[in-house]
Amino acid sequence: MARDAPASHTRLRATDFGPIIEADIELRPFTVFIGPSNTGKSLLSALIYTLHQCYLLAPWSSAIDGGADREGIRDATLQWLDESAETASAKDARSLTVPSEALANIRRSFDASQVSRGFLSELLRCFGHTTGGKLVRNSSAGVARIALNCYSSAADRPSRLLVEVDQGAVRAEVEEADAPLQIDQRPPSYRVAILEIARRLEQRVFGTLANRVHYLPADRTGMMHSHRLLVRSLIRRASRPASTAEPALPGVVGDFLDALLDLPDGGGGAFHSAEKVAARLEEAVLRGELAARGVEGGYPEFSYRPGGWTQELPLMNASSMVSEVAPIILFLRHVVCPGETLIVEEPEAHVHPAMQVELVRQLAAAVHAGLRVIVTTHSEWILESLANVVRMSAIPEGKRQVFKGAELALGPEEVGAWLFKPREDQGSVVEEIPLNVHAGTFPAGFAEVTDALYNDWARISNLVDSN
Amino acid sequence: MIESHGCSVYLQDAPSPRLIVDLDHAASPARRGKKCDFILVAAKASGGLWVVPLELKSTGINANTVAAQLRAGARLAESIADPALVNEFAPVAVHRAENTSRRQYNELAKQSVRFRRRDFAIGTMECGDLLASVIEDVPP
Repeated sequence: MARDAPASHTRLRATDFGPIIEADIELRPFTVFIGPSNTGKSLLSALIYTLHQCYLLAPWSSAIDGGADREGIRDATLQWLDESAETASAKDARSLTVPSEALANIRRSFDASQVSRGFLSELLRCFGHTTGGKLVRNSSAGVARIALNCYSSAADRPSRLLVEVDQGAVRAEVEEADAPLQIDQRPPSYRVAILEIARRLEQRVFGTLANRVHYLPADRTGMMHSHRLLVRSLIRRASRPASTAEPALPGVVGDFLDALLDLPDGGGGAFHSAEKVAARLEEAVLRGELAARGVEGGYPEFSYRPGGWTQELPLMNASSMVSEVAPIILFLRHVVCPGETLIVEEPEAHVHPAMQVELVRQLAAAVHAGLRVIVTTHSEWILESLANVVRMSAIPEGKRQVFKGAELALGPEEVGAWLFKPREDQGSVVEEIPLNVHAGTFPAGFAEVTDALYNDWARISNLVDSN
Repeated sequence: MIESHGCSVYLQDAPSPRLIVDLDHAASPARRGKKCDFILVAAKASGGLWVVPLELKSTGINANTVAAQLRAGARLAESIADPALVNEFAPVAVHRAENTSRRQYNELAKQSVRFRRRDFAIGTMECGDLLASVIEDVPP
């Protein structure tokens, strides 16, 4: 799948959401969130996950499903289908423009309250809260605002999904760009036609978020070692009377465990374009092979065979690094498809710097394979490795073959590094940090730490040498 | 305040009385050849002298270059200040830390500046900071 053309892009703006005072980020194929703890990196990642899930609820399609026989929609669409059948041969019946009257009627059928309900339900599930108010910044006016702006070269203004969250409710509003809508082929029936139109409208509003998403939460090692226990405990809990207590797990963690249970046996499917990336990660980072085996009626078993060994080790007997990286490999091999987004929290955990560097290179390879990647990190190795990936894109075409790995290069327009900066007024602001070619990294405040450490070293050395 | 190459250093609370030698000045005998930007000679509160060669960079540091410049400054300082009176020496590279890569810090840690037959580690400070933040003049 071709990567996104720069002409169309998606921006997410959030204010007073969790600790975030203000964030306005462009979601690029490789997006990195950096900053001190408790500044909202994971929270914003989980919000992106929630918005993806909200798209999967198919708000237009469901609304239209319920009102498919509404007169205005039906008449206008049927008339259009009849006309296109009469005038178009099979050959030139591609890229049909939906008539504005049918489109206007379908737009009117959209029910924003359904998006509000769906968003609230997903928000509470993904974050593991019982009220949306817990996601509103403490010192704010009591309302968190989220705006998803999707820009397209076909429209003068973006399509927008606006959401307000407060203690009591969620209010969603959609401002869809009033641009012509095209579908690739003449639909065979009225029903297929309106569902296809609805799907296109949903894609227009959700932009790059109009696809599946997968979240690999922090502390994957613990989850990989204890997922059987966790699932057993959840099943036990599910058989007890409903409680008003907080959900047992945030949805991002629950969905991750759920995906682990569904991992198929054996190797990746042929449709998984990231299989090569998974294999390269196994070779270069794990230096061994992973296996996931389904047990009939039970939980899958994960094992690791170090290179040169004949014997497999249960994952809990392998190093923490293996358990931490294993989900990334398993998801690339079995779960994530081109166009989908993979969110990885702190990929550096338990991973040696040399392997962090390779991990970033392979995540860049995953972007080349059509995936979108979002990473939260505290690692300057991750940033420096990504800086090299971006810098490589400036090597002239004729010289690229000289530098090994230059095929992994990503242009600056494909990579976004966003710094979550704490502010004194109890929250954080999010700013883009451009690549600094002098320092060879995305400056995220690590330089101050290095500078202070270095100067302590210099002072200590001068005192030691003075004796 | 002293300034060079778009980078400045503030002298409030720095030891005084002090003499600042601008090695880029038209009258400087060391105007040509390798040298640092300034040499500060100041009285220590507890007696004796501070000697501080300073190299100012508007961007990041190249460790090898800045070390060579500060070494040249140290040699000049030995001819300016009576070595017998100098009891504090601190070569300082002034820069913008966000433009200095970790590789350069690692390289800087391997470098030293020789003064009065002793090797000194090079300190760094941020453009726009107080010199007093890196040379602590503790009263007796």
